[in-house]
Amino acid sequence: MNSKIKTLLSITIVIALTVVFHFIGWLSPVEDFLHGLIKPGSQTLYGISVSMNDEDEEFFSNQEELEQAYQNLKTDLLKNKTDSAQLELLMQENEELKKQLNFLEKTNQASIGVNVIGKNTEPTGNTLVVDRGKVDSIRVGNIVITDEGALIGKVTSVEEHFSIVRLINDSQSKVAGTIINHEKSIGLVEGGYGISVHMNFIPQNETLEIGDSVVTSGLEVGIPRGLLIGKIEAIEKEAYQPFQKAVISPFVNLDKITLASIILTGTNLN
Amino acid sequence: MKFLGQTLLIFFSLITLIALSIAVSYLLPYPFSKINIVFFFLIIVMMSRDSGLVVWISFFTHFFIELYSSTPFGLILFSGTISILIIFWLYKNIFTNRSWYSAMTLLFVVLLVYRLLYILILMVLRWLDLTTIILEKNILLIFGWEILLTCLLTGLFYFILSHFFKSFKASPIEHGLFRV
Repeated sequence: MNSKIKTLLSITIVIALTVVFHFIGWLSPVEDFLHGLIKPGSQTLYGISVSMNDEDEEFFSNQEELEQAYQNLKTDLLKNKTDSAQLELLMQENEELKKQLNFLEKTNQASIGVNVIGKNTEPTGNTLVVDRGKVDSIRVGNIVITDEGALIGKVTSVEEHFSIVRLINDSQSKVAGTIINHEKSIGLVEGGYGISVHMNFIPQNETLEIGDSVVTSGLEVGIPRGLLIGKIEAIEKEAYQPFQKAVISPFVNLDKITLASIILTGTNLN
Repeated sequence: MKFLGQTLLIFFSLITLIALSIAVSYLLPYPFSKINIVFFFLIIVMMSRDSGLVVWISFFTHFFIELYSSTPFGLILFSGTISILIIFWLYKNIFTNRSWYSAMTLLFVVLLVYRLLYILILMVLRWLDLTTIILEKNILLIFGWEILLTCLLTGLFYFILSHFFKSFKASPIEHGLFRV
């Protein structure tokens, strides 16, 4: 029994020392080397998994269904063009107002493109591994977006040559959001609900509609306003509750991200 | 030279194991993506080699896995290594029978211990405010699939191997699940 206790203690000490050395940074060269060994295979396998799980294909059983789908797409396209024109007008108006108020914008934002080389294999998180790290000025808290300007997550851990990005549908993800409705309702977009996210703490008296878009509110440090998050799929409203909540489907399929951009804030570049 | 060759062989075997584990997780559909290839391999090696080296293989393998995980560093490493150590003791002292049902039992127990340690340490870290990870409601279902499918795979694989390799065959005196 004594030998078993000694073995258990010695292994526990080795594990504890490994953890300490990791947080001190002494294991960084080893971790980078191991990561470099696995990275090509991991990136290839991730790319294959993304192409295998293509859920965007649609099948039509007859011509009427195809024609209906085509008409629906034409209607959506027209609506998007109208929204785009209105957005353009609003942006111009916003710029004019800022100039009139002598509003000074201190933006020092640059971005860096990253490749997704893997994802979390544990069931306790929705995270991606990207191929940029400290040497590329990435810092914890940097936000990650797609080329279309949709928010997909935040950097949660950074090593020398790779980083881990927590997706917006991760249970630990919380982002301040604004709904593009009449009242510009604000709330907290939280993950942990599978492929969708929930926007909580929306005032009860504000009017939401299914299909409303949700963007970042800009109320958080390091997250600019206006980054796309998703659109409302369902609304949960109880008469006796002070807040209502919305179920949001992200604009981006978070299972199929292979390329992204990390926004570097001013502190990254110092 | 022989030692160097063996070390390199073990090292590249570990890399292959990690690659296989990643491939299963990425490519197979749910719930098959939850099969724990690492523990499947460790149990097979433990029962064929009868060596404590399996504990150190577990240590290095779970160290690799930590690099791809968003959990606090050390959680998977500690849970994985200690659970294999416990199951090695159980194998040497209690489940001494080398048979396919013994392999399944060992696999079941090691995954149970692994996930219990995992959840326990996570809860302690949350209590100490060292992590904000919240366990989702379906986590027990995911762990259940992991245990069920990995057990079935291990039992089937061991059954097939025992027909071809002597080291997987139980001797007549070992028939019986428990040591008397």
